Amino acid sequence: MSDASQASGAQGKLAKTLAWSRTPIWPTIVVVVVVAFIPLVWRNDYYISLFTLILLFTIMTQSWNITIGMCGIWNFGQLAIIALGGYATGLLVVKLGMSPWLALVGGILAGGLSAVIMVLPSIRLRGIYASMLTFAFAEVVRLLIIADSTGFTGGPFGLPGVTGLFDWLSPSWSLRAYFWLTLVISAVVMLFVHRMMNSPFGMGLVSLRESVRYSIGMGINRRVAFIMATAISGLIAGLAGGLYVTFYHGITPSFMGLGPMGALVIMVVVGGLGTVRGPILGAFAVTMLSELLRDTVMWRLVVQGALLLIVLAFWPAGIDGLLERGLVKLRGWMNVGQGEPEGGPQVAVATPAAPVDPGPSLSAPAAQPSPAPAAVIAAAEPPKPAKKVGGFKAWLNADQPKADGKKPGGAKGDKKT
Amino acid sequence: METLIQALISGLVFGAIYAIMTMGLTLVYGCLRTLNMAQGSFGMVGGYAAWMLTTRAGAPPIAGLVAGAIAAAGIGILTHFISVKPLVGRKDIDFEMTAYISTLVVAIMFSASIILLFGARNKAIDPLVDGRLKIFGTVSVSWQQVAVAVVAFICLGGLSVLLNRSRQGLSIMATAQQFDAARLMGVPAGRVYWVTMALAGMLGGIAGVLLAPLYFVSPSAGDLPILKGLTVAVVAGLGSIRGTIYAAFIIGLIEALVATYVGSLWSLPILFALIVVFMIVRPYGLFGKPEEERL
Amino acid sequence: MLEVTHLSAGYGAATVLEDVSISVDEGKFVVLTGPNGHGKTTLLRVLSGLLPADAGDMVFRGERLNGRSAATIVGRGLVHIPQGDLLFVDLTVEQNLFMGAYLSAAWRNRRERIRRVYELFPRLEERRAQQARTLSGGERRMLGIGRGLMSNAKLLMVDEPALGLAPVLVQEVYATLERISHSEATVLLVEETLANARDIADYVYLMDTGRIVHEGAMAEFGTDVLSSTYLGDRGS
Repeated sequence: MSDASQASGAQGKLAKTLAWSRTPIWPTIVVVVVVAFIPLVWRNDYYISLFTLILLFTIMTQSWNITIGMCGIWNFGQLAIIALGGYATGLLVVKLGMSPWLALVGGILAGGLSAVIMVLPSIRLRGIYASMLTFAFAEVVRLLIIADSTGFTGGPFGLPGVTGLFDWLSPSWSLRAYFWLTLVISAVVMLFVHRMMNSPFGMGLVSLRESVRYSIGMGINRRVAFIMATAISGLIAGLAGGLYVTFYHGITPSFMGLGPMGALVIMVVVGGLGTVRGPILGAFAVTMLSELLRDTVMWRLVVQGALLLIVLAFWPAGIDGLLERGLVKLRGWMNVGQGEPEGGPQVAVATPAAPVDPGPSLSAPAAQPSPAPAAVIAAAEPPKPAKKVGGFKAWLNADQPKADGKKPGGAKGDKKT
Repeated sequence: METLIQALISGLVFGAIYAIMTMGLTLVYGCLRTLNMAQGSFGMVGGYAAWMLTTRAGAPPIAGLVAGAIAAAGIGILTHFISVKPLVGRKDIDFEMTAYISTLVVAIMFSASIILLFGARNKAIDPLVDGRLKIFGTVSVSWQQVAVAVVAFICLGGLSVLLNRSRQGLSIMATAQQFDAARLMGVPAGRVYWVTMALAGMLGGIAGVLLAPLYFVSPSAGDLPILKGLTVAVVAGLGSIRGTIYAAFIIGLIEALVATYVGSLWSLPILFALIVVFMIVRPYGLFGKPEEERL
Repeated sequence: MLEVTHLSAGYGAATVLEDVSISVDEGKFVVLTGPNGHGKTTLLRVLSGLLPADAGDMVFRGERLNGRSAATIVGRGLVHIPQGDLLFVDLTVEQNLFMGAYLSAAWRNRRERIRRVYELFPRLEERRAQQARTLSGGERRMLGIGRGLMSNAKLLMVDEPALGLAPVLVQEVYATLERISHSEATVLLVEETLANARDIADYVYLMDTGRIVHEGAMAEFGTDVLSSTYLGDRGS
């Protein structure tokens, strides 16, 4: 962090703007205003609706990113949470005749509540078990809705007839209104997540993810922190669900199916886990890809899947990781002419990556149960020899030199992608 | 009373199929620490192979079973090479989670590919054998069910011999239990991995062919099996062979009883509620061990 | 038999072994000693092929082993018996032993070999059908060593066999190791407590922070040398 203050003195304003360690409020506002003009000049309703969908996905992936990217909890129930938000909103409108705006609040709350319920039991479980548990929860929800023959939730055919937020406008203007609304909301969410990631709370979460021992040492209650983060993620997810159900005037249980979940996973992973830009990039990339292959639905699935596999194999940090590397090079190039004594590129590298990118959450946590050929044998021998003063004297006294804490995955904020 | 016995018979038969099906999951998890979400796809592909051979080409059902097993084994190897192998040994990723996602996506890809090749419609396939065997009263068992039980026992028995007596089988179990020591004995990890996946594929394929007459051959034929397989695996304890057999029959019986007395629509939500309960109360299942973690 | 010259190795950026040179003559009982955490196990891992060497050479019976796979190295007769046994806990004693003979050459003769192992360790024969997890500490150690013998081992590298065992058992294990070194294979022993091996070791290497800092015949490592230079006996 002291690097950052050095940087502000030594670097040009341009480099500072590019550094995302500060919440980029102004750039975002600029982008939002610019993008907001699009529906005014563009007549094509189809594409506006597509972009709105992308923005909706952005909100969903951002919310999911909080649980995965920051807490390291692979919550595979995220779609169910979003759907529950949607169903809540929808049911409030359809059954109770509530105004969709009010019902949206209900959806938000439903999202937050269901997220906490779903994640709570899985906090103390190890990675794969935690995700299986959330997956099971989600499936229970989905299957119960499908099995529902009372007509309350509409069963397998879904809940139709949900009033939209802007139904009092003409369809064309309603669409545009939705566009603007989701644009603003997704911008706000993005800024919020960015803020959260760089706040003490957010960085605390990331360190908790990496090492439970740290949390005990710092007196942070790990569970409370995770629950709070999950609640926030759920609230946002509920919002996305509510927006979805009012936008499409309905929702069905297939929304929670394996296909959409796969798509969401691909978006988050391809975009870049654990970052702020990642979900946006991923949502954009995957949806556009879908569009290109719109006519050949099945090929789309195969291509999307192949994309994920390729990304995992070669660029696990996702598009954002590639972007990050590119930007780093760009900054380095731009700083060459500034005549920095020891600072230049070094400082440029130091500033941005650390806060914004707490490390891809697909990356190894402190304990890595992987069938790696280089796995440690009966780890009495830590990776680094205990270079202690008087090592022999210690041996003389029958003391075993303490093993260094094993952190084979490297520290958080490992910038080398 | 007779309904009960009928339900029990059905439960046992399903238990046998689940045992074979989940055994693939168990072996792969034990050896590769991967929760193979493509396991259901193995069954799906096996079904299609059997369908092609029997309904299209008119071969006897046994040939269909063998074809299904072989085709699925091939798919298992393919799955390994495209979604698991690229991840092994890498320090920059969390292997278990990434492999989970990877195999999940591959499963979706397999379904999509099948639709591209064969279309989305269900295909019917004849059972191995026709007819029913009356036992007493209204209790009867179809010959198909008997055939299934026989095949299942042969498979499980064969598997046991393979794993416990043969060099390759022992190496699979050894790799699963103590990876480093296995390497020190000269076991080539790479080969063990894909052999295990092939084995999982074969088992999944056989299960798929056995289920196909009941559930049709379709691109989504793998969805239900993987969900049920997960239930069994969780109850058993990930990676426990013995647990898988017990859990498979327990789940089969529960499902049959629920379907008979409550309604078949409820069996799946109840199964998943079971997963939830188990994961909260006994996350390592009946026989799983926390020390399975390879640290 | 085994010549290691100027070997360096480490984990990523951290160098653990620096310029290590040792040699083991056939039939000689060689001990590698020193405080824990200073690279002894790492050296064995490099020699058995689990960890690559960054620099230096390892030559076993005239063949350079750098870069060879673990399977190849075992096939050549260089066997690493790891610290903590690392048994296949759910397999039976006999299955564990058979796994030791995994490589095809040894596999064919496995029944013969297992008979020789049972001669050395009669208790293992008693427990042949029991799961390895049910064995006591001493029995596990024996199983680990026996498993190593099942391959055509020419040089056994044993890592801390005294670890976690009661003194009586330690003596038993060492007595067996001595027998092995006379009749079955040469032994390279990693032992933190030099006193344990005092009676049977021929040659000693002392390792500190990844370097060999002293070496010599066991007789040289007398009490005065030890306490005056680097270390001392611990109440033995």
